[in-house]
Amino acid sequence: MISNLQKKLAAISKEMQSSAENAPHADELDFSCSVYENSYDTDYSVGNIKINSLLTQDANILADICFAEHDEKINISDILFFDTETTGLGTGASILAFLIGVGYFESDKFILKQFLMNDYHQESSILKNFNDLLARHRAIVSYNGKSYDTHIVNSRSIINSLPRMMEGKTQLDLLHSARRLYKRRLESCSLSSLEKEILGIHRIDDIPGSEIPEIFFNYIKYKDKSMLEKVIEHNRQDILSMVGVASKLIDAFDNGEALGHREDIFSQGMIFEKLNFPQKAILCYNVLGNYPPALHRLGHIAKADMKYAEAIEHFSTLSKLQKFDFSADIELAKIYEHKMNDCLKAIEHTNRALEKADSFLSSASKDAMDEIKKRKHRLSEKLKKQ
Amino acid sequence: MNLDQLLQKLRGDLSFMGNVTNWKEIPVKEAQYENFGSYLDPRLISACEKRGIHRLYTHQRSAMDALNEGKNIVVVTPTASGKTLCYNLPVLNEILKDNSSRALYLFPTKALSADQVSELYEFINLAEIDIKTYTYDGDTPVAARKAVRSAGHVVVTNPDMLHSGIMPHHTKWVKLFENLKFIVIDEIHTYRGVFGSHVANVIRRLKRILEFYGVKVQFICCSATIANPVELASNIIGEDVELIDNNGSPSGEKHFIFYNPPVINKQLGIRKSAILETKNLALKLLYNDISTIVFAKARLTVEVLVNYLKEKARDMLGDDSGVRGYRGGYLPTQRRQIEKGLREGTIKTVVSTNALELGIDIGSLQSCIICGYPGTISGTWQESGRAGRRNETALTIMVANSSPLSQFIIKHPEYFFESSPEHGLINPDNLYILISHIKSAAFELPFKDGETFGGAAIGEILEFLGENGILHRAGDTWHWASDNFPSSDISLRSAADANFIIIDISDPAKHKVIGEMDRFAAPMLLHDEAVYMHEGSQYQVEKLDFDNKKAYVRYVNVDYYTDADLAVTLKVLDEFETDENNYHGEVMVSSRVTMFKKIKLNTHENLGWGKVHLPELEMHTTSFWMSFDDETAEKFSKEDLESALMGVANLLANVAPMYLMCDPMDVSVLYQVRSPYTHKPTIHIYDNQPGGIGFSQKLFSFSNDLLKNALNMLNDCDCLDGCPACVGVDGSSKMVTRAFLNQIIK
Repeated sequence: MISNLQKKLAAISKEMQSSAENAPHADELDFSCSVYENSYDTDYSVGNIKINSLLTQDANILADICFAEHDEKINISDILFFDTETTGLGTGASILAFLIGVGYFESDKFILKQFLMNDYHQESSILKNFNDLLARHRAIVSYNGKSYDTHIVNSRSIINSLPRMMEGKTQLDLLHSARRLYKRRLESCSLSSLEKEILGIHRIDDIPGSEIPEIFFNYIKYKDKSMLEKVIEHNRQDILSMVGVASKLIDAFDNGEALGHREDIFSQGMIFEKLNFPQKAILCYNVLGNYPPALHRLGHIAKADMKYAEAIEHFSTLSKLQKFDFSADIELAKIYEHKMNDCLKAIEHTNRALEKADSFLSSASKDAMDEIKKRKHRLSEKLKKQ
Repeated sequence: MNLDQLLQKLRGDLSFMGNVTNWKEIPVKEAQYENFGSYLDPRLISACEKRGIHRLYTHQRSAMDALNEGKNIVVVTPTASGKTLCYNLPVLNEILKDNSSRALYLFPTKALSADQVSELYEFINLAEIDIKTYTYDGDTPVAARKAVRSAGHVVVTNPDMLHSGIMPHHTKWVKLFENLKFIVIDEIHTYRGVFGSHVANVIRRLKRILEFYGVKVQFICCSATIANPVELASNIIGEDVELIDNNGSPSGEKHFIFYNPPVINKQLGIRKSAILETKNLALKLLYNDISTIVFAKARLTVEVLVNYLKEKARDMLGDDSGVRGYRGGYLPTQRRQIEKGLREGTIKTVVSTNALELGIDIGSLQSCIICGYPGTISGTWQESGRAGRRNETALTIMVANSSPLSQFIIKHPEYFFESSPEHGLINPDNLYILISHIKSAAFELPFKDGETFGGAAIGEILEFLGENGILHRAGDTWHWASDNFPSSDISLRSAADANFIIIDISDPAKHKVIGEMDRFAAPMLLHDEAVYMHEGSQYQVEKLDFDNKKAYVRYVNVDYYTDADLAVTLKVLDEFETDENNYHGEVMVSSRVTMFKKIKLNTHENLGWGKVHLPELEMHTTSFWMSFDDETAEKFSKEDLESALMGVANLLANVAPMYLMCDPMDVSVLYQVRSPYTHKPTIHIYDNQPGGIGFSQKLFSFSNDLLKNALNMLNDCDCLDGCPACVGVDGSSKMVTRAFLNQIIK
C-alpha cells in the first residue's frame, strides 16, 4: 500500500509530540479484573454521621426527593451506591470506566467493592462483575451518575457486547437534590465540597478528579501502581460520602425546620413545595420569622389556598421590611384588585411599588416599570367607571 | 424586452457579435417517462401526484429498480433533473415498510442540508405519513439532539459532523446505526482532492462501525457530470456501484455564448477587462428585468463586481437592493437572507463565487454570466445549469478573462463541448489523512491485530501509534489510550485547522464579526494594511493576530485594492521514481507572504507597496519535477535562462491542470535556476495539499506531452512578446521561452 512506510512514519512522528516506552506485553493474559473489598461495621463514622443511620431511614424519601419514578417500595437493601473513574471527561465512545466502585448494605454491614482493570482486556470483567451486583439491586444512588456514569457504562457495555443492565433501574441521582437543598448556602455543590461542609470530612492528599485520566494512562504505560492507589482511595471515599449525603438529605426531609442554617431551611421549604407538601413547607418557613424569602413564599401559599387575609398579612409585613424590592407591593395590588375587588387599596399599593421603583434606579427594569405604570393606568380607569 | 427578444437583438448587434467566438444553441429536450414501480407505497405515489408528478423520469425509475435489487447506485444527471426523488422515494418507501428503518443523508454543506430537509418535510406532509426527519449539525440545539438520535428516521448531516459529532459518539446513536438501511451521499463530485480523500476515510470508519452493529447498508450517490462518477463513487464508498445516467428530464432551449473581450493593446496582447465586460452584460440583463446570476472565481472579483453593479443600479434605477453578493465568507444568516430574496424575486442579480454551484434551490434564474472560465468543464456546466431550471429559454454567457485557460477555451469551443469533463481524483491512502482517520477509528472501536482499514493492512501504523503512546496494545487488541479527542483536531476540508475570523472595529464600542477565512488564504488577503472587501465595502486590516486567528479591520473608503506576493521555497525530501530528467517524490514547500502592492481600482495602476511580516507556512507534499541538462542551459545567458524558466513555468501552470483535469488551484509550479537537489535548472509542479493527492505521479507519466502543449499554447497566443496568457508578464520573453522549449522537446 505505502512505499517506504517506516521512513514516512518517522517523518510524521517528528510532528507529533509524545514519548512513551513500549508497554510490557504479558504473555499470558489474565482476563479477571482486580477486586477490592471493604466492609464497614454499623458504627463506622462517615464524617459527623454513622454509616448505619441510613438503615433506620426511609429509602422511599430518597426516591421522592430525587424525583425518581418507582413502582414498588424501595428498601435500603435495594440500593446500590455507584461511582466510576473514567479515562476522560467527555463522553466519546472510547471513554471507559477503568474503575467501578459500588456499595450496598448487607446484614447490617456496608460492603464496598471496587473493580479495577489493570489493562484494557479486563474491561469486560469489571462490567460483568458490576452487572452481577446490578442484577441484585433495583435502585442506584449516584452523584451526577444518572447522565454521566450511566452513559459510560451503557456505552462500554455496547462496545463489549454485554447487556445494558442499567436500563430500567430506578436512578437516585443525589446531585440535583443536594443542589436544591444547599445551593443557597454553598458556593459549590460538588461531592467533595458537600463532604467538607456538610459531613465535616477533610481529605488528606486527595487527587483532583480532572487528573485521573492521565494517572490511568500513565499506569497503563508504566504499570506504577502508587498513583493509582490514590484513585482507588478517592473512589472509595466518594462512595462513603454519598452514603453520608443521602442520609443528610433524608434527615432534612424528616426535620427540615430543625436544620442549622436558615438558607437550608428555606431551601427545604421550597423542596416541600415542589413535592407538593405545602404544610411541611409552611412549617419550615414559619421558623424563619421575618426572613423575606420565607414571607414571600408564605404569602404565595396562602394566596393559592385562597386565604387572602393571611396572604395580605404576609405581603404587608414584607412590604414594610423591603425598601427597594417592590414585588410584595405588586402582589398586594394584585390581591386587592382581583380577589378583594378593592381598587383603591390596589392603586395605593401600586403607588408604593412605583415609589420604590423610582427611589432606586436599578431596582426596576424598563419593562417592569412600564408594567407598573400600565397597572396604575388600568386601575385608574377602573376607578373612574365605578 | 424579454429574454427571447434580447437574444434576437444581440444577434443583430455587430459590436457584440464581433466578440462572440461561439454561440451554441442547445435544443429543447423532451421528457422521457416511466410508470411508478409496483413496489412503491400508494401514499408516496399520491404525494407525487399532489405535486403534479404523474409518472417518473426514466432515470428515477432506473434508480429505484437498481436499489430494489440491492445495488449501490450513483445517479449522474444535470441540475434540476429531479435527483432528490431518486433517493427520497426509496428511503421513504423502506421506512413505510419497516418503521424502525433509518437513513443517513450527507450533504457537503449545512445550507444544503437545511434546504433538503425542508423539501423532504414538505413531501412527507403531502404523503400524510409520520416520518421524522432532522438535520444534525453544529446548529442543532443541544436540547433537540437527543430526539434526533433516538427518533429521527432520516438524519441529515454533513461529513464533518458525521466525523466529529456522530461517529465518535456512536454508542449514543445505537438506534440509528442498528437500523440503518440507506446512506445517501449527494453532490459526490465535491468530494475530490483532499476533501474527498478525507470523506472516503470517514466512510471507511462508518462502515467499520456498521459492521460492529452487524448492519449492511446500501449507498445512493448523486453527482454532477464528471468523467469518472463510478470510479469516484466506488472509491469513496469502497464498494461496487451501478451508474444511473439515463436522464429523462426535459429542458428548455439553451443558449451558450462564448464572449472574448476585444484586444485593446496588441503589443501586450491585453484584452478589455473581463470584469468590466461582465458588468456591462449584467447591467443589460438587469435593465431588462432578467434574473441573472454572475459567477466570478475570486472573492475579490465578486466584491469588485457587486460594487460596480450596485453603483450603476443606484444611478439608473434609484435602488441597489436588487443586486447582492454571495460568497463563502458571509455569515450563515446573511446567506439565508440572500437565498430567500432570490427565491422571492426581490433580488434580480446576484454575484457569487462557486458557493452557489452546489444544488441549493434558488428558484428559476433566467440567465447566467460566468466571468472567467471556472477552470473545469464540469464546474462550468454546473454554473450554467443555474439558469433555466424551468422549461423556458435560458442564457449562459461565458466571458473569457486573460488567464491562459480561459483564452484557450474561448478559442477552442470544441474542446469544451466535446471533451470529457474532469476526473474526480482522491487518494484515501494519503498517509497524513489515513493516519488521522486510523486514530479516529481507534477512538471509535479498538483495532484487532490483523484488521484492515479500507482493505489495506495497517499493522505498521498501529505499531507506530502505539510507540507514540496514542494506542495501547492489550492482548491482540489496540485501544485508544489518550484523553485527547482525535476527531476535533482534524478538519476534512483542508489540512488547515480553524478559520480566521474577521472583526470590524470601526465602532470601538461594538466590535462585530463580519466574516471568516481559511488559514491558507488569510496571509494573502488579511495581512496588516491589506484592503479587505466585504459586501461591497472596503475595510483595512489594522492588525492580523496570526496566533489567535483574528483579523481586526476598520471600515475605509479608498480607491485601491491590495495584492500580496507569496515567496515560496522548496526542498526535496525523497525521490520515488526517476526517468532521465523527470522525477516524482516528496518535497517540503515553505511559503511566506513578504510584500503587497496597492493597485488603483478601474485603472489597475500600481500605487506603491508595503512589507508584510508573517510566519512561514510549511507543507509536506508530493511533487513532479523536470530538470534540464547543463549543455542546454549553457546555450542561454543567465538572464535568458531565468526568463525562459519563468516562461515555461507560467505555461505549465496552465497546461498541467488541463492534463490532470483538476482545478488550477490544486497544483503549483515553481522554477529553480539551480536546484539544490538536481544541481540543474529545474521546474517543480507540486500538489497544493499536504501529503499530495496523486497529481505528481500522473504528471510523471506524461511529462514530454506537457512541454509540447506548453509550446502549442505559446504559439497559439495572440500577443507579441509575452502576456499573462502565455509566458507571463513578469519579465519573461516569449522568444527566449520558445527557443528554450524547442531545445528541450525531444
